Amino acid sequence: MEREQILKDINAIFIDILDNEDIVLTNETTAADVDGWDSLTHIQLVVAFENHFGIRFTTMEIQGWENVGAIVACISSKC
Amino acid sequence: MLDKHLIRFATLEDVDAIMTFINENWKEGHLLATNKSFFLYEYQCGERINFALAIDVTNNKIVGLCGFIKNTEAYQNSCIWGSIWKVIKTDDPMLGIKILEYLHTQSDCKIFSSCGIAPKTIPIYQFLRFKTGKLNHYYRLNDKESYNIAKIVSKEIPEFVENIKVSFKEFNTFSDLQAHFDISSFSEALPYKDAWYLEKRYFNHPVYQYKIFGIDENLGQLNSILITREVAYNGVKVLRIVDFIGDYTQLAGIGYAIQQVMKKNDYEYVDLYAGGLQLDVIEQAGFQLKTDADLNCIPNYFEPFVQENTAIHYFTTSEQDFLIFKGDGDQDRPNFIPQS
Repeated sequence: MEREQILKDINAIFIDILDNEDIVLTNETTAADVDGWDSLTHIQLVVAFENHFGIRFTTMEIQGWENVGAIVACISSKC
Repeated sequence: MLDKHLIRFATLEDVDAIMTFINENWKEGHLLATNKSFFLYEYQCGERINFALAIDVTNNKIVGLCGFIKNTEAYQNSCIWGSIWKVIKTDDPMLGIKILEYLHTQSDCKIFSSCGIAPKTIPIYQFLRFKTGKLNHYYRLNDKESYNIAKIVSKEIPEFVENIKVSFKEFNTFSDLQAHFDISSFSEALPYKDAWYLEKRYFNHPVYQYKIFGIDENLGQLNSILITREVAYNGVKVLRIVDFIGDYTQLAGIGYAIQQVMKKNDYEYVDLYAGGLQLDVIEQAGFQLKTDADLNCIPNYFEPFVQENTAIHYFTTSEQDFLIFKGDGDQDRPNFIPQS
């Protein structure tokens, strides 16, 4: 799956989970840049990514995500 | 990112900073943020303070924490109960989960659980492969003309299996309890609550007075105890069963004894939040399960009083049968300390 499409899809998931229409993600976006992206919503996002893309992540994998680009790369490697 | 935060257990030197963190980030004016002696009662064990802390190494400030309450004096193989889990926003959205994992793996605990978790956090525990659930709420109404604490839409008082041989023996001192009840014989129970815990939690509580009843079946020794707390509101009283230790099948025979206690003290009702009990056992004692279809309201919050039904959710890492009661963790904790 194209990384650009993955970024678009996860942007939509962020908007839905964080209930914020204004979110615009880039590969460099980190949790510090997005209001409401905390431990609670992070897992909700992870579960939503898993369901949307039909994949599963390990705890180790998600601990290694330093920004949105790392999430996109991880999803891309599984799709 | 991994080096920016240090996760470690707290010590006595951290107490003021933890209380400040709770005040600023959990709830302003919270009892655990304002009353140091109560904080120490809940979390101090010698030099140790039972909190895992995430520290921002650049400024040495607390950025996250999770407290815990243990069921045994020893840390090793204790069943522990998480309480007050809070992380402020950092650039690491996994920090809260790292604190939970640290507590789970570094505390030497046998089982890690929490009672009273927020429903919105359930996906986190499920992701961590912890078992989650909701405590059942059981109650038995006294037969009264009107109810002031409960809101009764449909008054139903179930029959119980009458067993007049079963009575309650009340214990007013811990030594009296120890003389009649061998707590250590339940060391294989899950969770196991040792003598140290029972004395501290229920006999030496700085605010609440608990009524501890042995279930006496005239066998010469007691095999089970009930821990209860009387709660009053507007001159009306209810009795809340907050913990149980022993052979829980004995609960089936307590209907008559409960009825006697309820009548004698004019309680409006007796209730019990529990997970892991078999419904038929508790029904034989004359309790009914509060279901979604039951429109009665049996309040849970009294500080302040809120006349609404409350669901209590939990998680546990236990893969075996595990009994959970409202008294576990910090669910039966005062919200304020009366001036008197």
